[in-house]
Amino acid sequence: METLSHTEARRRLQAAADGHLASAHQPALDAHLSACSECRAYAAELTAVEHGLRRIFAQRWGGAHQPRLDLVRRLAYPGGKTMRRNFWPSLAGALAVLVLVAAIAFTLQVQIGQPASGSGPDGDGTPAATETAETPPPFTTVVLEPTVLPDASAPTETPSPEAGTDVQETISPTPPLNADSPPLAYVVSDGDTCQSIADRYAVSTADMLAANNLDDCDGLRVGDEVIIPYFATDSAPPVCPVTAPPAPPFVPPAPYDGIAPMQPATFWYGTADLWTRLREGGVWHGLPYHGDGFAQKLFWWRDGYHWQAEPNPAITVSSTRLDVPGDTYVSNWASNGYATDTLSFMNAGPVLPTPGCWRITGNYGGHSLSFVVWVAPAR
Amino acid sequence: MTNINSAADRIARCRAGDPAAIEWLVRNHQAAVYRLALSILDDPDEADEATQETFLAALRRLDGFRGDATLTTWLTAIAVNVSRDRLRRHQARQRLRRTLAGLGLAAQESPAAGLPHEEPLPEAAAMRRESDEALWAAVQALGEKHRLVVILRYYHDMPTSEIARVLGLSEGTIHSRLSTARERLRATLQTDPATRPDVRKL
Repeated sequence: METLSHTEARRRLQAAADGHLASAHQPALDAHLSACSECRAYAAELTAVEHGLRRIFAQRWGGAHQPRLDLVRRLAYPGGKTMRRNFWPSLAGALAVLVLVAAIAFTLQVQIGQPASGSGPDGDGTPAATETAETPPPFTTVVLEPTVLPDASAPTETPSPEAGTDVQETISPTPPLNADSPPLAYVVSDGDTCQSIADRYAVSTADMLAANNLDDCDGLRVGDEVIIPYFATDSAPPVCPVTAPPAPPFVPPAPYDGIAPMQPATFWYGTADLWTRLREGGVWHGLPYHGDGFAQKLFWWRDGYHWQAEPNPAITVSSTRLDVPGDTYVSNWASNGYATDTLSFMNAGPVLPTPGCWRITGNYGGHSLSFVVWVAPAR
Repeated sequence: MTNINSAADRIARCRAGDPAAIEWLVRNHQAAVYRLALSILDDPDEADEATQETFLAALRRLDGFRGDATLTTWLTAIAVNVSRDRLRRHQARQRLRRTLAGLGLAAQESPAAGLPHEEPLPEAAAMRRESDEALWAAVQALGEKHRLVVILRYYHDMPTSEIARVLGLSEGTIHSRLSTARERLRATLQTDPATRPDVRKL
């Protein structure tokens, strides 16, 4: 095997960072690294720079990803009204009825004592699902109130200043359960190669081709959807910079700092203005699928929020898929609750139509909180 | 499967001024364009304006869209140019303002870092960790040509081939700039924060 100089080893590490290292050059690099602690340190520093960059950019810009100007109105309908875009644009009227029915159904469901939809697969008791961050601890008192849903046929109105004037989607709280959930799919874009797609998700090209019934990559075109067979339930793939516990840990203000015990493997995330509870590892798996999305209940806290003072908190939760270009979805459905071991909290989940890497942002009272999670596909 | 024909059809209808097609274009790309503008300008108001300007420019230039690039790449390239122009105008204004205020010694290469947002982003609180602050300052100190590729690579997750297309440069140039930038940033992180004089001088 060829012997590398330190300079060449570093050059190759830099090339690898941009995905430019030929596989033939990898073995010599590995051999050099195993013998050279200085170059291992260099590699670790490069990785630290790359992770640090992703982190600081996400922290600085992650929370805001919609222009506040109503560009649709300005550009497409100067002088006129905007059209509302629903999940199924041609079914706006039907959706209005559905939303009404769903609202009634939801109210009934709450009244007969079930928690709001979606904190784990119904009834199958999978441990992996029941220990996710969203599962509430045992309640002593719970109040769950659905907010009044907006009239789907009305012209678009701003749900909150943060979400901008263009609400993409509004989801009803109780679509039918048990529909088949979609696979993890990637949309081929210009410049992709089979290897680059496989690398994003840490799967082998052979597995990827097999999952798509392809013999080779020649037939792939820009815009095609590729099924990605990534089924790890304990880790996110490289493409997804999931939110890690902050250092130092965030401690909620009193009296919330006395809430105990926290569930294992979860951490507080946010600031006194808005915080939530996330799962270590950043993976959400085993979520129930409702026909138009995965259901995930999220609890949000804010210093001073009281469940009786604001029963229908004006919190919105937006979600944007990061690993493929996609729309931003906004959910402005929220309820709330109170228990001795949670105190007052808001309950609002994101819209998650597909598996993948999702940035989720809660907006409440002029404050926003963003984090990134991996929504794992069902096998 | 995405229907490419239907995308081409919509672009044709955008050219003809069809409001529904323009709405489709704006809705599908405004978040990405805004994110890009915000990351270059680091100022929500400027990013709003840049986003609008990008779409106006794109609608004017749709005849020039040949379909040899993807729509996203094409819009991204326009957004980068619009944002860089705005950044330069913004920098010029800031320099003038500083000069007038007798603060001419402030770092000229890091206008965004030196400009507090009128309403600080809540995330700012999370950036208090010293190493992140040092890294942020070092990114600002990189200078536009290196900073831009770093943002496209690590915030927008673009492969070097895509960055090359967006900026109209060779992929080798992009890799070279990224390597240089990573080297400088690595040097920043190595320095003990207590003894680091001023990262902007690196």
